[in-house]
Amino acid sequence: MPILLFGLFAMLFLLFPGMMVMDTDAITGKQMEMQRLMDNANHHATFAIVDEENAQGSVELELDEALQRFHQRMFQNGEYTWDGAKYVPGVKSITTSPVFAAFHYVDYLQWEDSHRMVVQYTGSSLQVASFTKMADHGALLEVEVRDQAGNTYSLPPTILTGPCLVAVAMVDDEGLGLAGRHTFPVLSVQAVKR
Amino acid sequence: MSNLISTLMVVLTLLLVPGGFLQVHVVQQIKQELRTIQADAVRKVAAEGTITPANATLLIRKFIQEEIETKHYRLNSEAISLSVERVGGISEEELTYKDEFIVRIGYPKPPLSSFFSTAKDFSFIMYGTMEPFPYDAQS
Repeated sequence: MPILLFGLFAMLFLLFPGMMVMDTDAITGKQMEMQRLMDNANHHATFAIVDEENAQGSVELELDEALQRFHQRMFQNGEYTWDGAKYVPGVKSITTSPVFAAFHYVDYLQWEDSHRMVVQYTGSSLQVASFTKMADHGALLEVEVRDQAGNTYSLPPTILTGPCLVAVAMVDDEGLGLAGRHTFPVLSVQAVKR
Repeated sequence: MSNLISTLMVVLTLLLVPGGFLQVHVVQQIKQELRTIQADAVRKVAAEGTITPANATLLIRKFIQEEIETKHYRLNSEAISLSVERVGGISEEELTYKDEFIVRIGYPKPPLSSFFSTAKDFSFIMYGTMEPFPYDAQS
């Protein structure tokens, strides 16, 4: 009997490291899935060009239509419905809490300059706080997300190759048990397709 | 060992609880691997250019087999069911610039979790949009 009791205790104790492993797996999967959903939706969105401009040799995105296409694709692939400020998850979605998102269009006059974009996360909204020009050349875009606790998430810099639609999403989801919350930003930059 | 029932219950707990956790973990991994493969397949078709849905199915079946072999996934490539469909219309014409398509992927659930659920298969849907070609960009 003492052996069995010890076994029972050891098993319950070892479940905690096991749960940590599962949680790590879950957050990795969540991060990859969000990145894929955003990239797929952004790719679909950037086909919404203004035809007259395209015929004249320049390229311009029709932002309203592009965002509609973005939200439509997020619904088709991830069951997320857009309510004006955030993506509300469905039953089969990868997260259980809403995903906040902010969009910014870098047009054909701006894309050759280097910019720094600051996105502010307040816990109930995600908004582009500033979009400042850093240099006249380079076509470099640096994005950072600041949350209400003062943390700054720097996202990897991107070299733009043309007018781009920039989408930033903030995932703030419950983790498994004692493992803490899953909080991470996702960045997707796609050039407008001609 | 005097109390037979409590001994049995402890042994049962010792087996069932880790078994349950293992099953949840395996299901989670299978889902992740399927979704990764599906997203890669969507991009593969999108980058291919002019291709009919039937040919795209063959293409990504081969691609998925290679992926599973090289990445040592736990999936069995024989058991994966695949289909590529054009969105809008029932025509089987070639997919070109800006055309949308659906990649459906199905995989049988492991025995224990299919016993507890009504659906016998995992099934995932992913939409894709064809990439533009260089000669489309010029025109």
